Amino acid sequence: MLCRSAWESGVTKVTSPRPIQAVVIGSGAGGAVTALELARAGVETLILEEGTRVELPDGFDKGSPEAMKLLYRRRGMTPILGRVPIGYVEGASFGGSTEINSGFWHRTPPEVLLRWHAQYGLSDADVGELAPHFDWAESTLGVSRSNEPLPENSRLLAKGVESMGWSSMEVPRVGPAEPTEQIPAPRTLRKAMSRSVLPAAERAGAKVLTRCRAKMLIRERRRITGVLAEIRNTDGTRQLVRVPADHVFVCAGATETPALLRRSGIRHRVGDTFRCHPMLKVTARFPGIVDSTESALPLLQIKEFWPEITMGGAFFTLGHLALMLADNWGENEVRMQEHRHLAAYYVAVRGTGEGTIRSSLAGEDTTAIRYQLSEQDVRNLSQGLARLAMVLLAAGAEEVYPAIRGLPVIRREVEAARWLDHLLPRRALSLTTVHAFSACPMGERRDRCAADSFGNVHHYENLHIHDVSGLPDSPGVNPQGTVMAFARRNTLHFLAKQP
Amino acid sequence: MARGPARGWRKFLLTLLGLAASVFFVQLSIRDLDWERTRSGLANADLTPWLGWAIACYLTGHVLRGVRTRVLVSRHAQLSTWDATNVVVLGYAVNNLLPARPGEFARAGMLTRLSGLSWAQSLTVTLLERLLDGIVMVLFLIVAVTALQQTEGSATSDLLSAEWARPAILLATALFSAGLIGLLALVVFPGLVIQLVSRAISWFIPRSYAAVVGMLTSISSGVAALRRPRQALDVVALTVLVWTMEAGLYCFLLPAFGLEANWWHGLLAMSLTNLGLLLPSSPGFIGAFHYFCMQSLVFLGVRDSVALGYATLVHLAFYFPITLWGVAILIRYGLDVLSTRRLEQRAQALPSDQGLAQRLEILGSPMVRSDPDPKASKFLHCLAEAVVPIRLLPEDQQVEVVASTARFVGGQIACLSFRQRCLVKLALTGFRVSCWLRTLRPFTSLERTQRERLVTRWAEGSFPQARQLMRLVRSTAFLAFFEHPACSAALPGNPESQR
Ligand SMILES: Cc1cc2nc3c(=O)[nH]c(=O)nc-3n(C[C@H](O)[C@H](O)[C@H](O)COP(=O)(O)OP(=O)(O)OC[C@H]3O[C@@H](n4cnc5c(N)ncnc54)[C@H](O)[C@@H]3O)c2cc1C
Repeated sequence: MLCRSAWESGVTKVTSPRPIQAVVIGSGAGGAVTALELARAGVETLILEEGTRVELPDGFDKGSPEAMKLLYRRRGMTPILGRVPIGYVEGASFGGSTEINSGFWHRTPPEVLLRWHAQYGLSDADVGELAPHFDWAESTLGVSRSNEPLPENSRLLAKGVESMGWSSMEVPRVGPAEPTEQIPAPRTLRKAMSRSVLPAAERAGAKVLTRCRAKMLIRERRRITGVLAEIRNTDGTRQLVRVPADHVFVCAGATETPALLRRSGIRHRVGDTFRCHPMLKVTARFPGIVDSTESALPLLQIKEFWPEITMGGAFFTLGHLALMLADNWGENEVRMQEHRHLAAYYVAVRGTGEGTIRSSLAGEDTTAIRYQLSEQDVRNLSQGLARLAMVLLAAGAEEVYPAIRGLPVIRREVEAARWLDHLLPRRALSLTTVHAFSACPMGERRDRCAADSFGNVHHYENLHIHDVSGLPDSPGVNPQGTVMAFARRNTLHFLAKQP
Repeated sequence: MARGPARGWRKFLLTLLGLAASVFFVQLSIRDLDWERTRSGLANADLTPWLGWAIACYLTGHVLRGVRTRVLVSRHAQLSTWDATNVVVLGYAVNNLLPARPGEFARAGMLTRLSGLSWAQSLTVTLLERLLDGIVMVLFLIVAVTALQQTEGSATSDLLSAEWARPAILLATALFSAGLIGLLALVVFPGLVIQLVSRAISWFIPRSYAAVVGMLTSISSGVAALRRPRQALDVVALTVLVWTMEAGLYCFLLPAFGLEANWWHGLLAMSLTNLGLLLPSSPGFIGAFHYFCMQSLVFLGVRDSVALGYATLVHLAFYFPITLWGVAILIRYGLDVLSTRRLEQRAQALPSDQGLAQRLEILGSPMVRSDPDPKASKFLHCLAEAVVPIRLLPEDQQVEVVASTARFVGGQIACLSFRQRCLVKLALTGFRVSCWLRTLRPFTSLERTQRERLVTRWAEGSFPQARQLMRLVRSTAFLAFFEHPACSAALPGNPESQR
């Protein structure tokens, strides 16, 4: 895998000190779509991206140590602290988290939109209004269901779901990357932003500056006049530049957008309402061979208890299997030998706890992420574990190993059903998440929201948030679709308002 | 045009008046004073534990004030107790530092910034708090005088016969009663008040109609919290608690001067002093504070030199902790501005076309791999070896796989944020020391089986911090180890190993 660095798109038309019409910070799902629509409308657009451009070979394992070094923020060492720490990762390369995600696709559930309207005053965002944006994103990314038969780990889950009489669905995914000269028939590479929307944006005229971290927004009263950014040169030196701008679109993702705004002294409802989908993993041992390493991503999700509780198949490699078994390693070590019989699954809950994002004041510009699991979260996780274990036993699993320290192996339904009424011990939980959002909620209620219904930050006429941090609260489903649809809707609204 | 200078003059006159009042009160306090006794009384004051208790009471009072602010704004904004307390403290500190009591405005300004409330609303909330404070203080004074009249009739009759006391108390009671009636009207009949006032405005100053009605609406919503009986009760109870705590400051310092810690004496001193502070005085209330505090004890029969010593100590306890806290808040909030300015000065303009062309030349060409991890220390190497199940590997591969695992673990720890990294390094040092204490040999010179036992003891022991440290080390090591091609090939039953 190779990375190319810094100024890449030829010389921009920009000359200092004339402001650039639109500076987009971040090139993930939100930033890419925003830049594309701006550039298409003829707006002079510059994307500032902290990460590098990485050309991945087909078949590249996005969960591997090498991937962590190349594609993840702080190589994946960005835990969420709280009484129960939660392992959290996000992408930090050209294309953002879409470069490492699984591409599972959902539209925002109608009841979630209704809740956002009722609780946050989010206006003009019902199913009908968002539909054209979802249609556009789905056709751009070739979102579809797999035509192939379900892999064994998903088939087993489907069997369990059927015997319990529950509902489930095969989740649509972002389509495979376009063939190129180097990779004529991509197998695992998908249409992440760097292989779909961003090239289109560059073709439409957007410029990209990679290895460039926005450090602070320059404010003058109620206006943002530019961005202070640091460019990392390949020789290890750093250079601080001032990028004057007419409009700034912050799309730096779930944790970095609120951190950047707070660093810049913009704090009204910023960073106080961080949410995530806490996720608990379990491993199941089946009598037959499952060979989960052959199909790392099972595609089925159980929808019966959705959106509060979602269950499905988890990413599976030997390294990740060891992580899932590590909490009770003494007893579980031998299971590694039986990995061909094992499959991994997860329970994710719509987090209702309270979280904060803070930028550290001292020296280093790092971001402190905190989240306190709510009682409801623990209850949902407990019941989710009970149900997942039941469905796996019904599917024929002999043993279920939850990633919870000291919790005995579940072999019978009654052992699983116990957690329908009891709460899992908080301190023993080993949780992870890849879905984080809502630290700068959008909506008309100024007491709850950082930005208006179209992402325009309250009190700042030329500052916009077009990324996952603007979602008012947990959507309960994989968020990339929602992020892209809202980013496009907000950008088109912005363009329509321009004289 | 004339407004600015006029306002400046007013401020100047107010400051001058404050200074004159201070001089006057200082002069009143020290005339005919036995200086030697005052000095020795202060020097011999018994500070421990009384000063600590007094300050703790006073600070707790401020936190309770913060809770009260939070409750008062809860219908319009969600403010944390910490932020709300900072708002209150800032107001007090500014009054301590600057003439003409601008603290109330500073407090309203910060409240606006943190909560997003309008300026008029914030100011209303601030003034509402002060009004409630005044009412409770007058009530406390009445209660204290009544209680003391029962027990020590002569002292209070002295107080009530003082030429200034009766009119001052009557004036304060009249003022706060009028305020209370206005407040109750606005809380209970907001529509009626707005209607009446707006009608009057439309007759007398029609030009300001819109502005006044707007402001009145803001004021009316500023008192909205009091319309809910439960919240109103909370606010009143908190106000009583706040001043009880403040009375604690006065009460706890009485024994420091060999006086009886009489609750009613403390209450009298507190309420009289605080009512006295309503008069203009210099920053920090020097003079006025001492005079009124001293007089309250003199009425109770305490010698004036002791009373002045007492007043001085109470003033120090009242002044310094809150001022320091306030300065810290100012620095924190001021820092944003300062750091932006500092960065702005350091920043260069975005390179011009020509500069970009040069950058393109320098940076566009090299294709780089992810940086290799630096070599791991001997300790990390030994730790990694003790964590991963190296028996799975053929002997000739063990050294290489363990080395790359240790390098990865080291690289991951280095990517943690500064604070987390320090904590992990501290914990690792603790681990080494504990191993040394247990075996009297350094960890690196122990047999592998012995090291494995020590690691397991920490990973599965009863100390949560130790377990968390080992969880971090284990999970990163497992990922690197099991994802290593040599390991996956060596695992029994692995399709790869059979191929
Ligand atoms: C492992 C993983 C799996 C996931 N799987 C799915 C899935 O299957 N389906 C789904 O819908 N969602 C999934 N998600 C979530 C989804 O990818 C994100 O919600 C989505 O990409 C968020 O888009 P964004 O634009 O808000 O942020 P991101 O995509 O994270 O992009 C933010 C970008 O901003 C850049 N940036 C940050 N700070 C700065 C700065 N100061 N200056 C310059 N640039 C900066 C970052 O480098 C990054 O490129 C997954 C996420 C992860 C991490």
